[in-house]
Amino acid sequence: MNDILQRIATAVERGKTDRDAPYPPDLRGEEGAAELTARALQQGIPPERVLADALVQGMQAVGDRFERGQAFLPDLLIAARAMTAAMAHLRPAFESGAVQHRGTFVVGTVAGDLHDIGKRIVAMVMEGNGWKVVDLGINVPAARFLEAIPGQDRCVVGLSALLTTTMPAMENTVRTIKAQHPEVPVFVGGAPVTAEFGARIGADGYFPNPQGLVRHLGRRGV
Amino acid sequence: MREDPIGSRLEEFRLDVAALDLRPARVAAAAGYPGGHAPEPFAHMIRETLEAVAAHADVRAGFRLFPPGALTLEDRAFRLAGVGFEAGAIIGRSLRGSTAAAVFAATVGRAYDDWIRAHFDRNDLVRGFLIDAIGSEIAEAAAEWLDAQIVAGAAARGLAATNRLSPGYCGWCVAEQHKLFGFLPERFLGITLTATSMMIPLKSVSGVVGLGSAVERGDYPCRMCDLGHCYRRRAEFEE
Repeated sequence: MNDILQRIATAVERGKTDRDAPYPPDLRGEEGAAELTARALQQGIPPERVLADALVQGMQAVGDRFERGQAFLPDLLIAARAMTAAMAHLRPAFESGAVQHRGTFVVGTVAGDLHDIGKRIVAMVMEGNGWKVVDLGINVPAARFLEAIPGQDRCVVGLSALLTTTMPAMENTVRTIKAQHPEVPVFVGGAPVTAEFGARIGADGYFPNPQGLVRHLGRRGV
Repeated sequence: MREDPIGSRLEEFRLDVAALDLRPARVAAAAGYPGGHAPEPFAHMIRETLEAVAAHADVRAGFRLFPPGALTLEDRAFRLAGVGFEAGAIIGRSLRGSTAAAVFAATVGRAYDDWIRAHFDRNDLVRGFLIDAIGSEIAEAAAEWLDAQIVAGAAARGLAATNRLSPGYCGWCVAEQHKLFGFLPERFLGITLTATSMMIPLKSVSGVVGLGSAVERGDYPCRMCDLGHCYRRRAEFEE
């Protein structure tokens, strides 16, 4: 791998956002993911290569460590933050169509549920893995998902519920989406949710953490 | 302290968050780090955030204590001061021997929720996540402190206490939270419930402690529960 691409991947994996970021200590004062990405583009490296061979590689590396139990949610989040800083330099390429997102991830916490953090973590990790994210927020009725899906490229939906009392709303949302958009994959997560529950309500999968969803979508070739 | 005609007694406390002595290792464990050993930069972030907590946390706790005879057990259910609870087999077993009870709540306050949200809104999820984890541990620590008061008070009357038992855990449906809060004054400690039984502020804990002369307190509540997907089980039991 090109040296600068390798350095970008390392900066993302270790959460080195930019030169000013004090962490990790051994990279203090060095360029972070943002500056390195800008420099790679100035050197003429195609933006799709920067995305695929550096940024996504960095996220994948921390994701692999997460799955092996060698990294934890804060590690994933700090890496996603570095990835987001780097992505700002790729925005023109996304806007011109030179680089495409992997797809659109429409995400929200279901009606009646005000829990935010789990959903935000999943959204940030998905964004860090090259997905365009449409975050509908918390307490989202099924109808708002229906409004958000049309026109989205390669749309995937993520639903979060943190209470047993809001699991019926999750079921209603899955069934409502599937009735209108059977082709759109819907994934569920949240503390009381299980794979069995997800299957019973017609969801396409349940994941206890965002990395599992990223990996699943990768296996599906998305 | 207030006492009502049926002999129940209400007590409320405002706690100094520093007195709860929340250690960085406990927060690191709650954030997922085995043994409470968070690497840098997270260890530093946890210490830094703990130092800032006092400005945002308004920790309050309280309980209503019901006298002997107020609680009756019915296998998978119990009845407290005439109100029936379908709490399930695990809770039923845990309350065995109880004749009295304390209904309790503790909260970190609304300003703390705002502090978490402010970090999320400016996309600082790392710090927001740690503040959220710390808030959960403060609420738990406040409930532990309250539990110690209940246990000591019961012991002074010759009674033993069960573990703290909360709706939403050990198979007890969280919807029964509404009945539990029916025993507490409206907006007790500033806590309100949504229709779906969420407590607002989010960093709040509630539940019941059974009291009696022949009750047993388990040394580790997760061992008696088979709720495999519970986040507390994942955090503590499977390590």
